[in-house]
Amino acid sequence: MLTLSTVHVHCTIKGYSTVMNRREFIGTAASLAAFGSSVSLSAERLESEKHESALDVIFSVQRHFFPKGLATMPDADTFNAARYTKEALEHKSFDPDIRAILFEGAKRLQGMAGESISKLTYKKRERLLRKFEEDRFGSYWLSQVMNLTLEALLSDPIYGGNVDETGWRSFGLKPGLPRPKKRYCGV
Amino acid sequence: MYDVAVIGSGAAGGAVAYLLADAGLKTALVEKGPWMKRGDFSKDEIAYCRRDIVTPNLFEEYHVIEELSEGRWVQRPTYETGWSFWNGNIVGGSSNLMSGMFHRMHPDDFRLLERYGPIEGANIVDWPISYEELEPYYDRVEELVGISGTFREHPLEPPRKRKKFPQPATRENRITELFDISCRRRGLTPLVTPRAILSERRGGRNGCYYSNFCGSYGCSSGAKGSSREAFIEPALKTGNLTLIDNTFVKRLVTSSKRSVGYADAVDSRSGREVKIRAKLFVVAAQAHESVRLLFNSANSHYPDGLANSSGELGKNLIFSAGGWGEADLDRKSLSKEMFDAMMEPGLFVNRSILDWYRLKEGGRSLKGALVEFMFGHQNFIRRAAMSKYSKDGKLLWGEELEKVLRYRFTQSKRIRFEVFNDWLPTDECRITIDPTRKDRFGMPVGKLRVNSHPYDLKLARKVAQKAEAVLKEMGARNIVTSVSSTPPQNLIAGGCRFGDDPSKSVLNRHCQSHDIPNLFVADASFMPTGGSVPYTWTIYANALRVAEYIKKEFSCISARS
Repeated sequence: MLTLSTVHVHCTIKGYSTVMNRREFIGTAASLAAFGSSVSLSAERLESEKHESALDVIFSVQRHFFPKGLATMPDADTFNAARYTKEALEHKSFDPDIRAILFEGAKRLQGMAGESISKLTYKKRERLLRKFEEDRFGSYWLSQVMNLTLEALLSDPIYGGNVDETGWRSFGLKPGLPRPKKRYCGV
Repeated sequence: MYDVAVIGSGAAGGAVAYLLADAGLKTALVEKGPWMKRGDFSKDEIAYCRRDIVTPNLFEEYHVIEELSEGRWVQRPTYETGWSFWNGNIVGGSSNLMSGMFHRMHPDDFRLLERYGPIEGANIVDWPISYEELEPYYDRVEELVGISGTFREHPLEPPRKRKKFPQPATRENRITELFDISCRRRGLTPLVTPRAILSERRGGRNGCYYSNFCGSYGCSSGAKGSSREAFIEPALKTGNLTLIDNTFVKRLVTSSKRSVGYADAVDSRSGREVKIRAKLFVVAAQAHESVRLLFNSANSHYPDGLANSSGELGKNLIFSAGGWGEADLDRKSLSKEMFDAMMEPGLFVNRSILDWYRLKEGGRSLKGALVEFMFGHQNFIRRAAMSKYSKDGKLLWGEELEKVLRYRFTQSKRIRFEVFNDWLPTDECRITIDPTRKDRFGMPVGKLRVNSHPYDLKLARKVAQKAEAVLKEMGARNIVTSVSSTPPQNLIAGGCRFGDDPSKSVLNRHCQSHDIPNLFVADASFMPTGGSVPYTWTIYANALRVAEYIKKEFSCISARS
């Protein structure tokens, strides 16, 4: 079949391990009830006001992860992390539990900040995120936002990120061929 | 009515269907997933490696995994953890996505008990057949699948009729020069790993084009010897094969105590129920799913599951695993010339070490392990995500992340080894069904209790240390090794042991049910022990052996059923 290395790809990169149980987070996050069952969370509801504000928090964090002025890497707006993220979350293949955790985490982070995260100074935002990271849930949430942002940076531009292949070009990466003609194999 | 219905189109199902269709039997090949053809594949990391696109959505179809945690068994449905036990649910199964590192089992592997003696807590039995009986089929697979390689003599290499592989080895990265020198310095013999990948065009299949993204992806040139390319496509040309894709078999229904009459199936897209009638059935849905199907087919004749008069169904689940290690090769490790050559994308490492397949300890022989060497997977997102933490566990971002990614992508490559030793069969590694949890088709899901024998971990650690020494000899840095009882979900076998005693095995030596003559199980579930190599070559070879028997005995079996 596949080799152990492909196992490793599937187990570690999706952020999964046999130890990590995402439902532990969901079970303790009472406010997730506001989103209904995580399984039934539908893509259309991303348009709701509540989700728009959560997405704004995620986008602000992505901009902090990939700020302007780096020597090699493009900033989050240049490779369009926001568009990638929104469209990835809307697709039915995106894990509904992780989606629910992303929204819950955004709400908690916003609560910790007390004001719009995008309006904080870089230093204040840095302190806020490092503080958030000290909590197990916060650490997991930041890791998931980073995974999404790395996907936006390094996936095929067909998915809406990696605009003009800026992510690949910044590291001299050559994509495998053939490249996809349709997102998610047309599913 | 078909002559034969084969359930599952992976390595075993495809090989059986090919041989039977080629022999003129009207054969149905039933596959739960869709038929993706060569031209449909791409190197799309999102689709193939980060989402469940070629496997079912875990919220609709899942397994329950039972693991030992702090001394007690904890059950978790895979939709809670994301640890999917699906492996490529498309025509050709997970063979489409394999890396194709092919090894024959050693003659010792067929006689593990006789050769090395019992181990407390392990249910080791010898195979009812010998290496010599399987060897002609290993040889046939070389030809039919098109295995490439360079044969080098080695005292632990399984005997083979011909010294040359049908195709020359695939092209290699120059780092193999350093690997070979390093091995020899340590008194080891580096071997070229045979690959189920064509190095040259053959028939309708093109040679490898070194895309840099092989394992986890479908092959766009046809070079990879998947069940689809090597067996199903040729079988369709006979006119005797009907490929029924997007169809999930829920249960097998018996027409009498000694005969399966039809498969109760459902179109996985429309939900339309279908019955597939045949004179003979071959189950090859991958070990854990084949076992689940037999449990879910329980009836008044067989209340504990079809083919389960022995009570052995689902027991002695095994995996092909041991441990792994990775390290960095970079400018500090290598000369400029070697570094530049190493960074060339696409070419393979193709190296393995057999020297540790048999070990000595206190004057007695121990069964050891094969170690495979390769570059770490080239997936961009994966590599970046693996690098996102600092040594003290803080998430990196901004300039710090940029620095790490620059090193990862432009200044280094990961060299990796994988240890394959026996996963000893035990009472604590098995498959049952969970009657309280059902999939979207209303069928009870498979429950896998997974655990390894302490001996396996001890042996894997011992061999991993030896493999680490090779990486150090190469000058590799930042070595990380992992040995654990967490199984790889894709290299899975056992659960339908074959054997000569009907009270202790599910299948006879032909992989035919002891209870029901027109029912065979051809995937890796037949294996009582798994050897210390990845299974795929053995699965292909055994499937051809089983199909040869069916071909010879078909008239007789079908007349009685």
